[in-house]
Amino acid sequence: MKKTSVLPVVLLLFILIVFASLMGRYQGFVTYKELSRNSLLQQLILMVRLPRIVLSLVVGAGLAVSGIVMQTVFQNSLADPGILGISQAAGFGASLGFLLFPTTRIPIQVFAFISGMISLVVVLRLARRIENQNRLSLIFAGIAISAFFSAGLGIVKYLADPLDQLPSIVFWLLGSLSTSDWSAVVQIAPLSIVCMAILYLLRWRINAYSLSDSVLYSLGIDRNIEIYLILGISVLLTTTIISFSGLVGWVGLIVPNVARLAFGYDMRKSLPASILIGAIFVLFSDTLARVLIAGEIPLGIITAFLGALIFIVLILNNRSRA
Amino acid sequence: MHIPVLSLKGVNYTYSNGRSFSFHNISLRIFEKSITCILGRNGVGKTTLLLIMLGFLKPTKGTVEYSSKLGSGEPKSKNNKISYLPQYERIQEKMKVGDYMLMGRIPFISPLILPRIEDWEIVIKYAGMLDLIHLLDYPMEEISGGEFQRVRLGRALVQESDLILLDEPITHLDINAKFKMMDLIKKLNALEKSIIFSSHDPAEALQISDFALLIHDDHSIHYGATKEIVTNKNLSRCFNMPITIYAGKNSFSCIIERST
Amino acid sequence: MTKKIVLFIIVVLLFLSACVSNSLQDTAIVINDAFGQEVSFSKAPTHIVVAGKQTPMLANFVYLFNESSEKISAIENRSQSSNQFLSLIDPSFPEKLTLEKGAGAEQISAFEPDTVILKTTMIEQIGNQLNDVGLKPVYVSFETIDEIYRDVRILGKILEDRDKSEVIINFYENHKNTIDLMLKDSQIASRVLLLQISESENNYVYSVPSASWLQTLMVEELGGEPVWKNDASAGGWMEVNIEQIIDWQPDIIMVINYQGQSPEMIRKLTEDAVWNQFISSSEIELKPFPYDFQSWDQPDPRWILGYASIAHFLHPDVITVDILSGLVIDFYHELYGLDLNMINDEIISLLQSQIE
Repeated sequence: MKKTSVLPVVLLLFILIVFASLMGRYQGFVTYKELSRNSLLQQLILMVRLPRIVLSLVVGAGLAVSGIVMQTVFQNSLADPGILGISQAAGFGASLGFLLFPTTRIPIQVFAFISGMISLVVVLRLARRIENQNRLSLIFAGIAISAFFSAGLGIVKYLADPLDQLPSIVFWLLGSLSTSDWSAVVQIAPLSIVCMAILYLLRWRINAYSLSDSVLYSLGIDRNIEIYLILGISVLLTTTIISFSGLVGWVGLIVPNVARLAFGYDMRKSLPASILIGAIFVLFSDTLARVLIAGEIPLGIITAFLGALIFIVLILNNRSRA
Repeated sequence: MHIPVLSLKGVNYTYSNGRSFSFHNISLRIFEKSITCILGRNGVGKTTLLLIMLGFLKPTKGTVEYSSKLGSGEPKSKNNKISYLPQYERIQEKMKVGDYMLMGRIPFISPLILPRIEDWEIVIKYAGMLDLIHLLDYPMEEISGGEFQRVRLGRALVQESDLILLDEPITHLDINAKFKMMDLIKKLNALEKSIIFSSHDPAEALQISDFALLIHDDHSIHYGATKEIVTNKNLSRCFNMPITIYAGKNSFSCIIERST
Repeated sequence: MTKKIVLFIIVVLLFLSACVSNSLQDTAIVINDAFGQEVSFSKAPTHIVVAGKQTPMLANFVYLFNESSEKISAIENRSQSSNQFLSLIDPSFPEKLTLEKGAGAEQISAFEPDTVILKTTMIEQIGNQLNDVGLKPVYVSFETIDEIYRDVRILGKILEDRDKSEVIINFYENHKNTIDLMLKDSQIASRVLLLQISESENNYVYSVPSASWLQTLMVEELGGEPVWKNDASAGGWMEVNIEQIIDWQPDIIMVINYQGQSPEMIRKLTEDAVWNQFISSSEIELKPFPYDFQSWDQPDPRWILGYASIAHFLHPDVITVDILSGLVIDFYHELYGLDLNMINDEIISLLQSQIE
């Protein structure tokens, strides 16, 4: 039984935020002295780095919360929006939305959400129809649906954008926060934070979904309604984020597992832990993405690389205990 | 003693997929503060009947009515008054015993808040009653079968319900644990709770239940006071084997006489 | 008996002579393509297809030759603006757009071409398969100035108009030499940044060209210092963020936009707080790279116009607007045979806001 304290994690997050704001391609790592002298640098930090940092925190926390909710609801530690195809559906919806409505951003998020909900329902139905229902049924269904929507994204791009005028499919499939600014923060953060807040408040309740359906009924919970509601909020959270950032994968898969390892299975601790750890993970990854080399590295590549490393460590850790 | 807590009126139930049988026109009344045992062979529909009583399965015809104490029958108003322990219950193995028992407080805790101190105090009270205090911090995967059953009863108690439904609570326990469980059930009954449990061992019914409900292979039922219903003749018909009841000083046992 | 032997010898001789004359005809045209490989044709191709990702620019080169109208059977339909331009040159051009975008070897072979003109980068995607089917692709590159001269000659050979290819090359050489001479005494080495700005769903995406591409080489050739060259990727366009742009400390930024919106992009940049401060505090010049049917920075016949534009941006008092405008007119008149009125109406009008 782990009794890890939350304090060091919060501290780490704050240090990382300060570090990230002082770091960039422009003049590398700066000290306070330079900062006070250089007004262009101040502008850069205020108008370019800070909104990007805020968005990376939102993206990290949001995708992690989404992941831990799905893993607990489905009682499957491999579930995450990417594996279940919801992220890919969101990317498909968002790019379609932009193609049809290039001037406003709202339709992008709406299309992304609708796509995400459709994929959720389809994956659940499909998983139920697989014979010999087991842990993997959901994953198989998710693999099929995610491939379907990725292909759909490719088709949308190919047919509808012959002049390659819109962001390439690479952006959608690998994710990036390079275009972050305060207006993007305004469009993405409030809704995401509201969704996270709701899921945070419900965190104890979500623990209950591990019980049998009949037991839940006896406790007054209509499992279907509540689960669809909670999954719906998770999907809204995920699709809002992905409609801006493109597909950033592995966060929803890895962070919840790490959070549970350190803080236990009770959502009262592991959900807030996921928020913090997810924020740290993506902030760190995005800082690498924009600083490591002259060019921008797609965020999804870094989260995949780090995520896969951590995944391997988790697997080895598991095996040595078993 | 003869106030009905639960009534089935003309209940018909047909399985929608797979199984081929159904219940026809079942009417009976379960009385307050009684212990009722549902007896029958495996697969005859004991679990189904319990779920219909719970309200989880809806009858294809007929109604299930609950006493005013239990509420009007809608999930929210009634269901914090009925506890249910399935035969095979799904749990999260790493969940702690105390947290599992806390689940019984769900009907009283709004979804958007966390359990309060008073909820936890109720858990401790019943944990004490069931001798579980020393286990509260253990994950579910580390307790024994018998302890697990007690913990589940703890959840039912924490829910402070008037009616407790148990699906084969005694079946899988060893002899020692069997008697302990039967004592527990009587203890719960003494707390003024109505209890319905299912079993395929008539001895359990004879041991502790006031009423018995026999489900025969053709899905007809026999319901009444245990002493009147649980007879050699009825049991033999119910289980398709010649059964003889032997009464000991304080307990009962059922023997199957083979024809030599 | 002897009669038979004589008859036999005569038949053999006739056969041999036929073979010899055949093989002589086989080497009617021999081309060394961009890979240095020999491609030979028994007679000059009369059914030519242009395909692959860079089709618009290749087609622009092919249409420098008057024979194209007859000899080109199909062109891959890739760019509306390029199609518009070529329709000015050749009214029958729209009929040639029968090849779908992204066509593969199968669709191309349906046209039964004598040869297919491809950019070197298309060898794996299309070229090898065409070879397998027995069609002979000819690869061209146009990525450096020397390659441009070489590949123009290749086209001249294929289209059987060596004279025109020399005219074209002379035009290029003369005007480049003129510009170089005029700039001989201007020694300022500016820090130059070629920046492609494209509008994305969320914001603006900034990218810089590959270190080995024509644009980069042109900047160097003109004495500018391409600030991104050392960091650039070997592959294609590299996305960068504004911090990196500022860190490179350019003196002048030439903004490229492939939708022809480069002046618009500059305008929008100046409305942004950070860019504003950057531009004013470092006294940076922002110049729109001109675009008429095609951006002038590309490996396209208009490269010389791009070359002159860069020269103009770097030394506006030496390579003046008038010189640039004159070059544009000469280019379209001499190389494409357009008359002056058409040039004015269709082209100069497009460039109004771009060249000042």
